[in-house]
Amino acid sequence: MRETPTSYPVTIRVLHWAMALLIILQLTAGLWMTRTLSLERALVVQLHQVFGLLLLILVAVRVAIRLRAAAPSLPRNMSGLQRTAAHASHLAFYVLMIGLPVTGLIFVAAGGNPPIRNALLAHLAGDLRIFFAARELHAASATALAVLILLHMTAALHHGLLRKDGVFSQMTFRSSRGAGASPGSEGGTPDMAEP
Amino acid sequence: MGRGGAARSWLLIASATGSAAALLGWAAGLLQPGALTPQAIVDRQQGSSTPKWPGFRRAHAKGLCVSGVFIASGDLARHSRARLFRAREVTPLSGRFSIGGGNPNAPDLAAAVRSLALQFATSDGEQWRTAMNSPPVLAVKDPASFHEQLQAARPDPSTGKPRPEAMAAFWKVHPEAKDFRAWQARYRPTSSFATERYHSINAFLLENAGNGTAAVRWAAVPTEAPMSAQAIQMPQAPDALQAELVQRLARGPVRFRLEFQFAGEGDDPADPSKEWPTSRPTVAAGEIVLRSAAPQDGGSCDGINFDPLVLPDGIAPSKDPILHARSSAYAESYRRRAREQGERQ
Repeated sequence: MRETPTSYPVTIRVLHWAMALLIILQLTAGLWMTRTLSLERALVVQLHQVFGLLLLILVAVRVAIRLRAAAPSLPRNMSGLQRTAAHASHLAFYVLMIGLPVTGLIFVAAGGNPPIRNALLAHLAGDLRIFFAARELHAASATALAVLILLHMTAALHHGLLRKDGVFSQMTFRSSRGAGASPGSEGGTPDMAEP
Repeated sequence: MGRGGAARSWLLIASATGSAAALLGWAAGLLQPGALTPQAIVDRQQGSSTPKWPGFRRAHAKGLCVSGVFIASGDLARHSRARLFRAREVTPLSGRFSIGGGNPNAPDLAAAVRSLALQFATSDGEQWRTAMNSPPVLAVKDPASFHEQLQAARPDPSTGKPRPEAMAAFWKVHPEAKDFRAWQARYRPTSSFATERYHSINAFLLENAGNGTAAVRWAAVPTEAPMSAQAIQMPQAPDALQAELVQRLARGPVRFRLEFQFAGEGDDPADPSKEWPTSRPTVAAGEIVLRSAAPQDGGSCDGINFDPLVLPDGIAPSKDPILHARSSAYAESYRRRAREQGERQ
C-alpha cells in the first residue's frame, strides 16, 4: 500500500502556481476586454485566446497527473463539513478550469472566427443559440471561478497562518520540516505554538 | 498563538484576498463607474433599458443577406500580401445590405444611411469582414463624441419627435463634423442598394510581402449608373430597396468595384471625420459580384458580427479610436441579440 504523501507531487505544485497566475490574468483580461473601447483590446483578446488554449492543455496534464498520484489527506481535526467543502471546491475548480476554455472556444467558433481551424468548430459558425449558451456560461463560470479563488485564498491562508496544520504547505515548495508540516500533523495535533 | 498574532494573520489574509478582489473589481469597471464603455454606447443605440426590438442588431437593424464572390484584379497584390488580392483569386463572400437605425421595420427610403457589410472567406482559411456605409466619413473622431452624438440624435422621449435644437447644439461644439455635413448636404439617395457607394469609414494599413505598409480607405463603387430618386417613380413600399434588389438580382449579378484610396501628405489615418482629397491615388483591387439575396430572418448573415477588426494577414487596423470602439460595441450588440434570440426559444 502506498504511503499517504505530505504534499502534492512537485509537478502538481508547479502547475498549481503557474495556472493560478495565468487564471488571475485571464479573469482580469476577460473582465476588462468586455468593457473597454481601448485600442489595446484586440491584442488582449488574442492573448486571452492563446492563454485560454494553453490553460486547457495544462488542466488536461494536471488531471492526468492528479488521477495517477495520491493526494495528501486532510488533517483529522477538520470537521466533516469542512472536508466536504474542501473536496467540493477542488472539484468545482476542475469543472471551471475545463469549462472556461471549452465554452470560450465554442462561443468564439459560433461567432465565426475560431482561434484554431477545425471542421467541427467551423461548423458552429453563425449559430446564435450556441453562441448565447456558451457565451453566457463562460461569463457565469468566470464569476464563479473568481469567487471560488477568493474563498480558496482565504481558506488556504487560514490553514497556513492560523491553523498551521500542514494543508498550506502541501502546495508550497518549502521543506516539509516547516511549521505544522511534519508527518505528525497528519491527523495529529496541529502545531498552535508561535514560531 | 496570541491575540495580536491572530489579528496580524487575519489582516494578512484580508489584504491578500482584498488585493485579488480589487484587481478583478478594477477589471470589471467597478472602480470607474462613469467610464465610457461599449455597454453605454449600445444602451444609447437601443434608446431604452429594455430593447424595443429584441433579437435585432442595435444599429442597422433592417437589412437582407446577399452572397457572391470577390474576383481580384491583382493590382493591390503589391500593396497587400492578403491572399484574396492575388490576381484572378476568387473569394466567396456573404454579406448584408442594410439601412441605418435600430428599427427593423423602418421604411427603407426614409433612412439617412445605407450600408453594405461583407465577410470574405479567403482560400487560406482566413476571414475579412468589413461594414461599409454610404457616408464617406463620420461626424466625429472619438468614441466620447460619438456617444454625445447618439444623445443629440435621440428623439424627444415624450413626443417621439426629433430634437433639431439638440442636434444644432451638438454641431456647434463639433467642428470636426464639417466634412460629414458637407456630404449630407450634397448626398442624393438613389433608388437602389446596388447604385450607392459604400465606404470603409475608418482607415487601415495594408502590409505587403516586404513588410511595407500603406494607410488606406476603401469603398465599394457601383458599376451601374444610378437612377436618381427624382428621375424615377420611387415606390412607397416600406421594403422598396429590398424588393428592388431582389428584382435586380433576378435579372443578373450586382457588381461593385472595390477601390482603395491611399493616404497622402497630411491625411491622418486615425481621424475618420476628414475626407481625403480625391486626387489621392486609388487602386481597384477587384470586383464584388453579388448573385443572390435572402431575408435576414434565418439567413446566413444574421449570425455574422461584421466586426471591422476581423482582418486577414496583409490588412492591419489603424490607430483610429472609433475603429476599435466599433469592434467593442459590435461585440456587445452581438451578445445582446444572441441572448434575446436564445431566451426566446
